[in-house]
Amino acid sequence: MIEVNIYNAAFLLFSMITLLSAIGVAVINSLMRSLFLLIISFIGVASLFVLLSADFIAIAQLLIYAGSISILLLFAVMLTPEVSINNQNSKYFLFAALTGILFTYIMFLFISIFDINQLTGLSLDKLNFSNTIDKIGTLLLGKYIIAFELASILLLFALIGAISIVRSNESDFNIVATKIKGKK
Amino acid sequence: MIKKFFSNTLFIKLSIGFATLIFLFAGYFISKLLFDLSVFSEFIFNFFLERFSYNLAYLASSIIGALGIISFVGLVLLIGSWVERRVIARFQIRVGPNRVGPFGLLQPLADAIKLMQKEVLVPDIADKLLFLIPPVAIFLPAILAWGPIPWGPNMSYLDINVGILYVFAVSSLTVPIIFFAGWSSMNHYALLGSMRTVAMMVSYEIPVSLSLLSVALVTGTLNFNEIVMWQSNNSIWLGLFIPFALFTFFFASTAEINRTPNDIAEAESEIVAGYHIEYSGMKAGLFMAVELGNAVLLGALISSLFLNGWFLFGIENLVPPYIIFITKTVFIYLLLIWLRATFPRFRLDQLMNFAWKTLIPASIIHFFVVAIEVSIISNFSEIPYLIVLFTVINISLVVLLAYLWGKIFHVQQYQPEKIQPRFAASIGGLEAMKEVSSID
Amino acid sequence: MVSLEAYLLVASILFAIGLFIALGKRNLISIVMGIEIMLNAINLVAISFARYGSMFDNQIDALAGHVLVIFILTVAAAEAAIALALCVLVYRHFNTINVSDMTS
Repeated sequence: MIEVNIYNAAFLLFSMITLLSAIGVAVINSLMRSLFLLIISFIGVASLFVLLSADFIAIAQLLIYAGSISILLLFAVMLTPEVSINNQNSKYFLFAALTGILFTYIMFLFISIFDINQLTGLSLDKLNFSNTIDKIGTLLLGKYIIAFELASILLLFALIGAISIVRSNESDFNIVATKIKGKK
Repeated sequence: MIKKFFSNTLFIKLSIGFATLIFLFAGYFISKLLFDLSVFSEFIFNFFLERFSYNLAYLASSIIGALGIISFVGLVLLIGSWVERRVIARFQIRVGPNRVGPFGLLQPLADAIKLMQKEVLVPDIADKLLFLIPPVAIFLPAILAWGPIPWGPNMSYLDINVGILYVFAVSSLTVPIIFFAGWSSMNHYALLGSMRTVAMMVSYEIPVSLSLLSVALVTGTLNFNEIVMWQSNNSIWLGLFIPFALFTFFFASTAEINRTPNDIAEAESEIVAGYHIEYSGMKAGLFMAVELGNAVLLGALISSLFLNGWFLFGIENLVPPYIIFITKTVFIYLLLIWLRATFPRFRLDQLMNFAWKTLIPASIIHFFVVAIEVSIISNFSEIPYLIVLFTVINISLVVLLAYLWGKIFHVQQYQPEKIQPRFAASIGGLEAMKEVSSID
Repeated sequence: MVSLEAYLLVASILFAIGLFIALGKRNLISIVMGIEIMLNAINLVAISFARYGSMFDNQIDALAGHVLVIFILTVAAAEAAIALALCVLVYRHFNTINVSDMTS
């Protein structure tokens, strides 16, 4: 039996916000509205991280997803005008919905059969999650230093790659211009 | 005789002085009583804990703290607009608002009533939902960012270990809101204005984060309280120790919160308003209010990160610490008003060039310099006054580099023309002509 | 206290929604949005195991989940940048970003 306390109420609220706005992203036809709901869903996931006492990760989620990736998506929408406003389903959407429902069902089965709860509860009192940020820092610059450096190289490559993909020379503009003229 | 005495200016001055003295004494005794406002929330917490459950006590005390912060912000929004208009009027040799109430103090209230009475216009082709959400939603980051601000000892609402990152992350949420405000208006000018603002805010987030990183590097923590305590333990203000970070934070934050000299988002005298062009009535008023609140928030951030928070040379034992903190905040806010009154506005290309070509490389180099200094300080901790030495070095370096920057990039100084305009003769007659010609 | 189960349920539903969006939408940008939602669900699973998992002896081991999430965040940022750049390129080339119109 789930007791009524402030943690459970907060969990219910945040998970509802996350899931409902994610469903809204899937259902709503306007791409801009679904982007707005996507940002709310990101914020909901960040608040779930707060409940899991992962303060640094919550802030990173807020910064990177809600602050940066959403801006990237907005810019992409603005760079591909007119066509991109609608957010309709494709003809495979029944198949996609079936896949989603099947996946959820399998996960339900997994959770109920394997009794996930036997994994929990032991480490709650042992681990003190009051201050994660310096521990994460020492881990990143100690045990996972190679992965950290590789991630930075990946980011640099993504930066250069994205710029070099999108950057267009004069001829590309001409092609686009002729296409638009031909369409009209 | 008596009537004459009462109408004397000396009497008025005396009575004002007397009232000030009484006010000071009363303020002293009240401040002794209200030295630590955290007593209130503790009392409420214990009150609810004894009678009800822990959850209700937690909820009640957190709501009380939030209400305190929100009421302060609301009060600041009301008084701040009056202060801003009055001070700018003084700069421009005007009087400013002086009709409604004593000294025009009720002017913000009258403005708010006027704005609320206005018709709410929604463009016909606008995305109605996304059009109506942003003026309200833009308040969320502006109020949430007040959370970890340390008002005094035991007096910060969110005493979290990631305070600086929290403020940075929450304030970055304004960017999509501004974008949605511009897009949903379905107006080309609004969309262009919002794209302009978003580009500027995104590029100025980098110098802000780099300057905050150097603060975290020096103090070794992201907690606001610990940063303030570090400054008082080492008896140095971070604004003196790393003045370039202070400058970068201040300048880039003025771009983030759209204040002059970087208020490209509005630029009311040059281009149409920007992302909030289609908003009318109280909705436009909400955007303006958020801008003002962000300016005060910038003051609070600078005073806690760079100006040693609630400490002021031992005065914090006499006066309540939050009074000192608010005084510093108001000082920074007045500095912002001074900037607005005196400086012209940058063009957008100048602004972006300055961010990407000057401010970001300079702050990266500054970050390395600070890292070297911090490692030297931590390795040779037995040498006294090392921090003071580096403070002197940093300040002199910044002054030297600013001078060199001005020399190299040849900042043209304003040279008034020798020949005065001669049309005065036709307008003001011979006297004005004489006055003009007597100047040169 | 809410148990691990509840978090895993929320994460799996979130992942299913992301899967639906990624598979069943016409728009390329919507597909990228679906992938981001799926990554979010995976982050939630990692963090909830770091918080509630009993297989860890000390805090450092448990924080491996946090480090994993940080790497996922970096990869997601890089992936979003590249994917959206590709979207723009596809739009320039085909003059559409609907997946079903790009079959030719």
